[in-house]
Amino acid sequence: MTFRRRAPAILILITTVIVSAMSYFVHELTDVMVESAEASSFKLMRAVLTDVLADNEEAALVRAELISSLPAVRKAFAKRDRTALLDECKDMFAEQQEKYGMDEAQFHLPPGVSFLRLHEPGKFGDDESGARPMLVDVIKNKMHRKGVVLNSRGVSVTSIVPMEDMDGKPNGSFEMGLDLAPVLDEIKKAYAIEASVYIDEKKLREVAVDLKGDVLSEKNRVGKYIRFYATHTDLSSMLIKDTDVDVAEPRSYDRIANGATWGVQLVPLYDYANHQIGVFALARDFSEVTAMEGRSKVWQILASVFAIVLLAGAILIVIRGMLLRPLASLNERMAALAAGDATKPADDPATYCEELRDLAENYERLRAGKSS
Amino acid sequence: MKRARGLSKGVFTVLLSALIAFGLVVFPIRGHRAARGAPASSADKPTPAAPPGASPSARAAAGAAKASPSAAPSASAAAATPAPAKADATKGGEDDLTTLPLGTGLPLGIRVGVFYLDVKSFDDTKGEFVATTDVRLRWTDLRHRFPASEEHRGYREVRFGEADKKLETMWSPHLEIANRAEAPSFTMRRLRIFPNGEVELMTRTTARYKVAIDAARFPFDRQHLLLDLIVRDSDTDEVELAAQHEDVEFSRPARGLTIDGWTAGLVDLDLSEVAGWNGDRYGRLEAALDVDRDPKGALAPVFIPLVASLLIPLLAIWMNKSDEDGFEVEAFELANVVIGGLFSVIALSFAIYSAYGVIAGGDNTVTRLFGLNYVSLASALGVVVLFFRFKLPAKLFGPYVQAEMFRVILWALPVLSTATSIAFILAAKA
Repeated sequence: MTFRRRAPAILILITTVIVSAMSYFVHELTDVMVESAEASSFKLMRAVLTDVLADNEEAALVRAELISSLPAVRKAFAKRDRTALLDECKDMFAEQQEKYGMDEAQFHLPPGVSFLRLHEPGKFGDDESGARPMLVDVIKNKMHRKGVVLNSRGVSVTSIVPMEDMDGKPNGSFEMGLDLAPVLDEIKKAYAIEASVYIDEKKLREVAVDLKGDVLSEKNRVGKYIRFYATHTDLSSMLIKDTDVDVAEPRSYDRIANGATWGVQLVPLYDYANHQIGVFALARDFSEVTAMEGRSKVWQILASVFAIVLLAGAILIVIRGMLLRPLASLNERMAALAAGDATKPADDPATYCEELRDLAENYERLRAGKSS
Repeated sequence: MKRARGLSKGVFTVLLSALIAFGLVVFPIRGHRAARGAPASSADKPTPAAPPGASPSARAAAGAAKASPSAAPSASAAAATPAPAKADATKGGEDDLTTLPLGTGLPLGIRVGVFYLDVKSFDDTKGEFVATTDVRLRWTDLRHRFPASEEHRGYREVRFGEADKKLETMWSPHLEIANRAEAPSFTMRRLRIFPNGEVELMTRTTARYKVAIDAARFPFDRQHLLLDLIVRDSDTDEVELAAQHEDVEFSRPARGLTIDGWTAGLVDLDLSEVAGWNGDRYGRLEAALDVDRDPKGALAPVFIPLVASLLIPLLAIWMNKSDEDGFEVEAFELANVVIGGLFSVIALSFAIYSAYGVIAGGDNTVTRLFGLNYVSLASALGVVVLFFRFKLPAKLFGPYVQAEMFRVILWALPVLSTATSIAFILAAKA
């Protein structure tokens, strides 16, 4: 290979490698920044869920504490007067249900026998202690408990407080449960996060015997889970598939749905006994971030192409235009002179660089000697 | 004298009383001008909003007073529901069903859902679309409760004119559709009242709406066919808009809905507030049907001519050839090619911008490609003038450098031009 080809080739190759490496480095840096931004968003989503659930558990607890401490309620419960207790509480519960999404309220007798369900007064007397460890814990240890639980109506944010008679002796418990749907709606409204909750189908069928509507249907089945509630069903169907939902620890991923990239955060849902009963799925529109990332990469590649082309051009112009072509021209004249042809003068000295100018002058001297 | 004075006093008192009575009859203290729709006098200026600490009834009164200007017929203020008889909302007692329902407390939640039945046309150049939509409003008014046994269907229902009549006798939310361009060509209502006092008002409307077009990602852009619903007559202390699960489920395009040149996606419900006077906030819900442009439609009329026109400046350079004396073709001949190219690009821009007005302004793929065209033409003209006409590189660096520079330009300019075009398109697609 000649120097004419080899030198520019090597320089252009080195230029290409350096520019490509720099471009790759910037590309990786962009990836890291975007991933970091997405990780922050996922962390925020988890924090929002935890915070909103805690707030609602607290709200249920405050209401339960308040009602269980009312003298008339304590008196009626101590007397086991179901009618008086219902009369005392039914209007209050109707209002709580209507205005604040309180889904259920229930009095229990030890060890966990339902005494009165305000949301379903006609049904009582069944023992829930077998399926409700939180209830048993409250009655046994006489301290309040709260959390997300699976019950006969599905899933709710529940608080249970111990009841005492007029002498302060423990005599049962009172429970208030908040429907999960308003909680997820609240997350969507306040933080623009689409939320859905998936419950283990087997457990749901076992426990949620009074479940209303068509929750337990084929369209809501996602793997071994049932989509219990979603703020946007169509979107959640596109974002969370059978293979995604079966997680035992928080997991996040990006997925394209409806032409936009969504960041999906899955959070396992555990009941009071630390058994996983389902999964929360939170989704946020990341399309602006991913579009910016995509545009940034396009401009980075274009900048690299510009850099390689311009540097390659500069290399070719300098090596060939300033060195090799004048040298070839002088070489051609020198060969002609060696063959006895002294008629070709060198180019204007200004055409050559300093180093070649001496050579051109020497050629001219040789040519002058030959011609004389 | 005393008697005469007493008589005159009596006559004066009677005359004064008669005068006052006459005045009261002819010029009542308030109400008749507004009630008969007379133009507002200086005394009929908009009522200031109730102060933050005012009672709900005072706020309701302020809200009702604010409602009166919006009752005037206007295209932009066309209401989703007819303005009910709200005059003096607070005066009504328990039996007055036209007052704001307070049974479930304030603010009263209005759940809103929007179903896109049909989109007859979407003109992105004008930023208008014509659509038939169902707007569903649901709220609870406990005054309408009735025993469930009274209705075998589970609800009471009235439709069309009957629904309008019924609405005149009860409170209903007055939602303004802020982006409606003109009065609807078709409106139909259905009112359902459930035993628990829940009221559902469904309004089917065909109308033309204005939307802002964002063409930055043309031809891969997504537009939002928006219905901008605002509650004007009650602030968020009284009436609050909401979208629950059922409303999100309801809000979608009809199955099989097609829009020429566009693909319909999902409907998005976005709740926010509009600032009013004195810190008042009004509930707002923007229901938007996402539609994606079919990029193939813009390929032939826009992108093929644009990319083809990029060849003109390249031709002006490719047509020439360097030799020992400089260049084979004269500069003026190639300058003519470049100037011809400039006029063709100007003509092309007129043609494209008149057909696609939406991309005429702002930063988008087409304006960028036009920019690239002009830069290429300027570069080609620079080569023609500096290289072919004045041979400036040869004068500065010698003929060998000029020849090599020209050889580099022959391949570098097309490569950079092509790479930039592709980058513009990929950036729009990202």
